[in-house]
Amino acid sequence: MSLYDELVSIVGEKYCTDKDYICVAYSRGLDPCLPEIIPQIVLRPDSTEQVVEIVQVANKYTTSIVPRGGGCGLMGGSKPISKECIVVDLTRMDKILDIDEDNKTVTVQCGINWSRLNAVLFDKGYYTGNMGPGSGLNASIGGGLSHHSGGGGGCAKYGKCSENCVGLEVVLGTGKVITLGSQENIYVKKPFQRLGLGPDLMGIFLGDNGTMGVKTTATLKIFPKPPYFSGKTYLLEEKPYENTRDMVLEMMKKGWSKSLGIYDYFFTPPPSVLGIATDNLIKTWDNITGGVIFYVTEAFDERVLERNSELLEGIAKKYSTRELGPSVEEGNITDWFYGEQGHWQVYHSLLSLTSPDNFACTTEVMVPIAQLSKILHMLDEWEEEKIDDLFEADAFSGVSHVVMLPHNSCYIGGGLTASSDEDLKEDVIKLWKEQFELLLHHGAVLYMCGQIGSQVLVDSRIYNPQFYTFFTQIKDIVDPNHIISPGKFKF
Amino acid sequence: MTEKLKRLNSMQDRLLSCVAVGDCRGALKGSFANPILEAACPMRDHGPGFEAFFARGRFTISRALLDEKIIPSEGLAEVVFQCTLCGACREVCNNMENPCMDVNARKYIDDHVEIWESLRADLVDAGVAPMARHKELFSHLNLEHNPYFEKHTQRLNWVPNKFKNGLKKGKTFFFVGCTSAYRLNEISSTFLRVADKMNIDLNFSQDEWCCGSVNLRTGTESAFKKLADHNYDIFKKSEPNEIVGTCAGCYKTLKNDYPKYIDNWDFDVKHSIELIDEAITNGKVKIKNKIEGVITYHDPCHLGRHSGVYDAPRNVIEAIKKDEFIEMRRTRNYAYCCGAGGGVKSAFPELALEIAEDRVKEAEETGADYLSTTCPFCLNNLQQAANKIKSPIKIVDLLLLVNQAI
Repeated sequence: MSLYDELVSIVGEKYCTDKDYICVAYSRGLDPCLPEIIPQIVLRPDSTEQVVEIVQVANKYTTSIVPRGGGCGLMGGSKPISKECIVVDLTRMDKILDIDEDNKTVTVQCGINWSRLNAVLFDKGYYTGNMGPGSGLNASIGGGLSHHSGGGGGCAKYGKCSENCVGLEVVLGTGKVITLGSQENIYVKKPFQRLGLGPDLMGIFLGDNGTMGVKTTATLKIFPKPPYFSGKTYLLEEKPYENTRDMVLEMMKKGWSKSLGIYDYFFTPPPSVLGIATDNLIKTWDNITGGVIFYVTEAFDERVLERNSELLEGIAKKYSTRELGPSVEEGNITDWFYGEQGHWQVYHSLLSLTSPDNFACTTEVMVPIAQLSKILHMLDEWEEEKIDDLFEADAFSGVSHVVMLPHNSCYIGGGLTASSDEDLKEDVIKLWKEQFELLLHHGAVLYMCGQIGSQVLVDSRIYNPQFYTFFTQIKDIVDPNHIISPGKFKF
Repeated sequence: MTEKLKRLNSMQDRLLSCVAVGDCRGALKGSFANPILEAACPMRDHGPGFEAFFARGRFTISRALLDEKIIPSEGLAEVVFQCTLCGACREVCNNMENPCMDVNARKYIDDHVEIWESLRADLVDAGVAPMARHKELFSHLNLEHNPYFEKHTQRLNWVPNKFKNGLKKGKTFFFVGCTSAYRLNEISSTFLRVADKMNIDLNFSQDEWCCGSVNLRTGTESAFKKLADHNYDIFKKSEPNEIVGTCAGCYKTLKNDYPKYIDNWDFDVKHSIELIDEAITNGKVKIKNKIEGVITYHDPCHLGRHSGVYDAPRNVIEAIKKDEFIEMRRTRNYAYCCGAGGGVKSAFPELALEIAEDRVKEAEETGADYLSTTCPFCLNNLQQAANKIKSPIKIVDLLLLVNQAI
């Protein structure tokens, strides 16, 4: 039997294809300029057992596997790097296996997307807290866990989605299945806790960009959804970077999400506000200059909400020029963002701002909030320094938004917007990598790497050599033939 | 690039505007604070489910065709034709759902269905489409002007005796449509009775031909044009004040497509449910017997998403109901397709039925006694699905309930 025939025997002819007109749809991700390579075979398993068999066959033929969830990666997370590969489309593994309201957990197959999962949880009065990546609710749970995703809502309160994972089942590159979290204890019937049975080996598979195995089942914490919310939007004309930093640090001193109920806090720097206003994305932000912050706070009790809103307002006013609002029509987008919209596609909508002639190369990093203004100024300086190169590449640099996380850090979503001109793509990618390196050398960490980010991490030599050796050794253990997600981290 | 794909070529900017977020497969919609629903592409839940079967993948396919990474083939056509053209992808795509927000990509891409129809037409021009079953239909359509393998001379066999001789030649032209003329006669005959009760004088013609929807949706544009031109001549001779139809497919075709293909088209087109809504609102007709039992309503894609008619059927239900009207979870612009459209019912009948089963089950969740709709094509598919799964829910054209009520 051929490789294709063996794979067909696992998932059936309906769910396995080598037709170029079907496989071509997997040559693309949200990243716009990495090569679009049509994979040899695409298949859609529906169970862990089938994934095990696929990995075994892939090992037999030493053909690489690219696991793919929602296909929403901004940096080539699920794109083939050569034709000789099998794309494993995991979206058929989309079952909710258990909702445990006592333990407040949900166990799912990892191909389910954030949208479908939360649609079901909402009916029961729960949500996943972190609503997944900003790149869209079609993104899968497995993809989110592979990238420490956030930005899709709830990050200020619930952190990165991987922080809420308490159980994980992974098919290793050896074809063995490993269960992590409290179910490392064979007597634990249902996963409820990530830690407690020795070292946190689940961490090896979280944020791994899909390199350490194929995630098949995950158990996430679920949270009762508070019935009350309010939100405010503020304009910051003076020193927006410093004022945002100081505002957030003061809110954190007052308890942040734990006592003030903050669910989300976004900062949009002045150039992006200008872009948003120019492109009419948020029509009510027309004619404003400066940065904009908005936050949403949730509560189970109206009086608590009122108290928290007052406290937050007091702090926000100290650091801002004026409030935008209170209505959406007056510029307060939080009612739309949280109340009306029902989902959290702010970031991918910003991506969609680009016209057909342009595309976005995203640079996603995490930095300490205390360093936020320094990093943003540094990016501005880099843009000035590279103005000629950017001009020649027909590209612009900028930060579209900053999303606050709990405790001390934030996501910075930035990068380049560049011309779709094929001849300029190489120059754009070079600048893109330079910006990554710059951020890394200034102490930023990546949370979503994909092909491009994970390779920059290695090329820029920011890894402690001992760590990288250790990292590679772990890869050798879990995937000795290096068949899963080839290319990433230059394994 | 190839000139053969002339329609896609002319849409390059629209194709490039898809940033590949993929919410077109299924996305949380509605309000975060209130009930949430998940708007979904029917092809996500049915068929092989590869990317190529929903909008994001189809954009990539279209781009790959233009870049000559792939070539038109019958296999590709089979994938492209497994789409009901319901347009749920368009509704979800970058829909900010607030007039204060706007996203360029939504504007640039515009109507997804128009793109899918163009892709199909280009594949037809390339000689790899439509599907074999469509070709059979078109052979017959060319001779007898209907896709049901019936004789054109029998087009008005459905007309009840009461009306055969006594029909007044009014200024409202009733475009009957093939499904009501040849299959679901109860809809057309009931409309005559309802119009009679509303004192609306109808006119209709033995010379009516198929509206051409089936051709347009499956890429045979020239055949569509022939049918449209013929029907236009009939309308001109009749000089109606308005054209009314009971079929959502005919309605969309006459209302939205004919103006694009026929110069000087200036006829006012209405769906029968709009006419009834007006008559009830204006007091031209009284509700005498309110309908007992819970009613729910299925928005036909052609009437709802494609034409924006959401309120008229709901107003009518509100007026005639004695008990409750309960909406399904996915409703109005996020309504789940019945599965029959886009040539799927004829070429992939099992797929059409599978999708309809989902919709019937969704209707059952409301506890309704009646699943009403305003399209004979939806009705037929939903009825078949209900029979298959032995659903107790009664699938009815809303006209029938109206006729009972007035």
